[in-house]
Amino acid sequence: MKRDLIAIRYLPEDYLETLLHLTHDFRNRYTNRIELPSLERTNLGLLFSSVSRRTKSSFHQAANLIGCNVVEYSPNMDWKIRGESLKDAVKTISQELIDILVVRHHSGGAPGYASKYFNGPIINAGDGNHEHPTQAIADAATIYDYFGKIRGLTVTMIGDFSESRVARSSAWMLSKLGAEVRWVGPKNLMPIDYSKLPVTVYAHLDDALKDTDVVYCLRMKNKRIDDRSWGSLPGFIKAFQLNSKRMKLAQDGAIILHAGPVNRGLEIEDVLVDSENFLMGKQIEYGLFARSASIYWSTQKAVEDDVLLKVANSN
Amino acid sequence: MKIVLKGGRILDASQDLDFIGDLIIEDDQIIDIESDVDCSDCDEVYQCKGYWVMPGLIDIHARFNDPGFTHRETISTGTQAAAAGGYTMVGYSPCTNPVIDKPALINHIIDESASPDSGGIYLAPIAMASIGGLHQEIVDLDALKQLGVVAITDDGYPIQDAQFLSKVLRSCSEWDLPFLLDARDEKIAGSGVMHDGAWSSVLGLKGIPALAEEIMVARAALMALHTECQVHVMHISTAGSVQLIRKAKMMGAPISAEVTPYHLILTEDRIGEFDSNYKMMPPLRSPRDRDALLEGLVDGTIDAITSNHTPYANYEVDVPFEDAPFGGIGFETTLASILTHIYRENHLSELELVRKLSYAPANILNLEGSSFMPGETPFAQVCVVDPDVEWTYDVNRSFSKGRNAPFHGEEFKGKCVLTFSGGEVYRDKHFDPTRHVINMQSIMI
Repeated sequence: MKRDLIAIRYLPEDYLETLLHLTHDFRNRYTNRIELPSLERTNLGLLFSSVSRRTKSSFHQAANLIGCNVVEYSPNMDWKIRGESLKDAVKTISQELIDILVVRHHSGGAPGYASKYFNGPIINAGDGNHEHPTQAIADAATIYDYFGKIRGLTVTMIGDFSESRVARSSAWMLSKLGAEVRWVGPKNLMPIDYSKLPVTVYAHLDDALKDTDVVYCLRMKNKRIDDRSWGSLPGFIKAFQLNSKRMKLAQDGAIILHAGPVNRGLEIEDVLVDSENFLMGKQIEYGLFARSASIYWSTQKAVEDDVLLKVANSN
Repeated sequence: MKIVLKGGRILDASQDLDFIGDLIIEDDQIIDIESDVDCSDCDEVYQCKGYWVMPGLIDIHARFNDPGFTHRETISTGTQAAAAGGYTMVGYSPCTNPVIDKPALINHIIDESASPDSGGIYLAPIAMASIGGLHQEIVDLDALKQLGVVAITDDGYPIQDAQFLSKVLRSCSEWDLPFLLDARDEKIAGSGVMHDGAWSSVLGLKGIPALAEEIMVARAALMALHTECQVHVMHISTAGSVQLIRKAKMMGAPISAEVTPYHLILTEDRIGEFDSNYKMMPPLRSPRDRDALLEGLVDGTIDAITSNHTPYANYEVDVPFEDAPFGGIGFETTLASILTHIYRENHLSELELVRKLSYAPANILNLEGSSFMPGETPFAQVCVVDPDVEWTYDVNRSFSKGRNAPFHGEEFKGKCVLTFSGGEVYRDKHFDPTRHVINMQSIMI
């Protein structure tokens, strides 16, 4: 059976723990100048059908770190222009000696769909508003790095959830690893029914921040800034902006995460972005190793390579 | 030519008949129903012991896609699928390309319906309310009615402008034509692809709120009251719509409603991991909505069950969920799914089932088709059901060209095994051929 990384939602906890520890292990090795495992002669395809700010280059670099050859299939390639179906595009790519395919697609569920037509593993690099698994692994790794644990922590996510794959993936990841996840944001930007999501929804930011160990600010999308039929920006800032005063409601030493890029002064107060508790840089760094770890894991070598797992688990 | 369907359970909702007896067809007309007829002068006898013999099913509207989309369905493939499902009359949706808005296009349907291609299935023409479906100019109702149009609709092109809709309804009332309403507020539905609820939140898919339907049902109910137009709401899907229809009927509004088997049986969670076979319009809703639909069906708020047969080619459906079209094929599975899930669970009696699938649709479209009363129907239309046969639906063996089948792989109990319509007989493979006796003597003479 091939091993896809499509959604955190249905991955068993032990897989998630393996991915988390592999991510840590890879980073520690890199920091301590210990050689990373190599996937020499493995060809990795990057099929990105929608715009990516940083994920594509992060995947590219992550693949380089473990010695993969990378082939890019970008949106301006023929398959998109000619209206070729995703099915045919993926079948074509299968014939080009690609072993692992990373897929970003505007349509939720597209990586799972692509998996039907691709023999090797598929890694989801963000599908519609569904999931962004490697970002969730990076977020969990950042939190683990700081607290040495995830179980028992409280994580409060703030902002626009209606179109956030990051919020979904991270909520599943952190809750499956034992954290309590809270969501708070304007009603028009929240899902209508969260009964099947592993989160508690709060109406007021101040209530949600109480006893929080991790505050996760979601980026306000440009289209929300341009089209304010959902509500007013000053109203949002007043009710939901994370500022220094509000941070005092959280636990002492609470950290702030953000998947970037930041709108300073909108979802988060300018001064907090420059504070030492703001760990976006760490998230980006861990994002790189999370992607290396995911690629490595998808080849199943993580299970075969017992030694590596022992190293990982001892961390 | 005299045919007897012998010893079956006769079910005729138009006369509230439910007894074991024989149905006699002569020269494509129903001549009589008797308890035990002498068959010595008959040409053919079908032994129907253990079977139900009922008027052919009538579908209020279904898509054949001719003209314009014949890669999805043609009149020939669509009518074969309809006959296999027990249908003998089908409202022909004008949601084609071009939309059916002119007499010439109606004539095309009428000609096709009379041709051998339609296999004896009667296609009742329905016209789009506005030229081109553009909601600017009302179609020529006088000319269309004279040609035999049975209803006006906005199927696939829901009218948003309240003033225009009220004018359409007033005109329909003037020409005594029912209006089949596609209740969808397109602004509220937006670019939604599934029910706006718990599962759309999990999958990160844009939702179609129940409100998108209910606001239009409420509006149409008020307009039916004001214009006295007979408004039929197609494929309702929400608990709120059921309540609104119930209240509107209590207020005396000339309103009726239908539901599809999909919305009666399936719920939003069937989409699972983005299975585009379950992408429907309106979307599959929550269990609470499904329960309310069933309650409405049982208490009479919902008058009829329709297939909402909406075929698409395989390549159109075999795409990621958000890119897939809405709808599913339904001719061959509507009766079987209702038998399996609604009748078997004691929600409907045999006669009620006939009422929802045949008699009520006939009344809504003012068609003479759902009766065994001699002389009541233009031609003999009979659906014979084996209520006990167990079978599995395989879309790859469907007569339809469509491959978007929510019930693919589903196990059913009960099936139409014979359909008589317009002088043609459809015989299912589950019909035991030894039950068909040809009187050699009469052939020799």
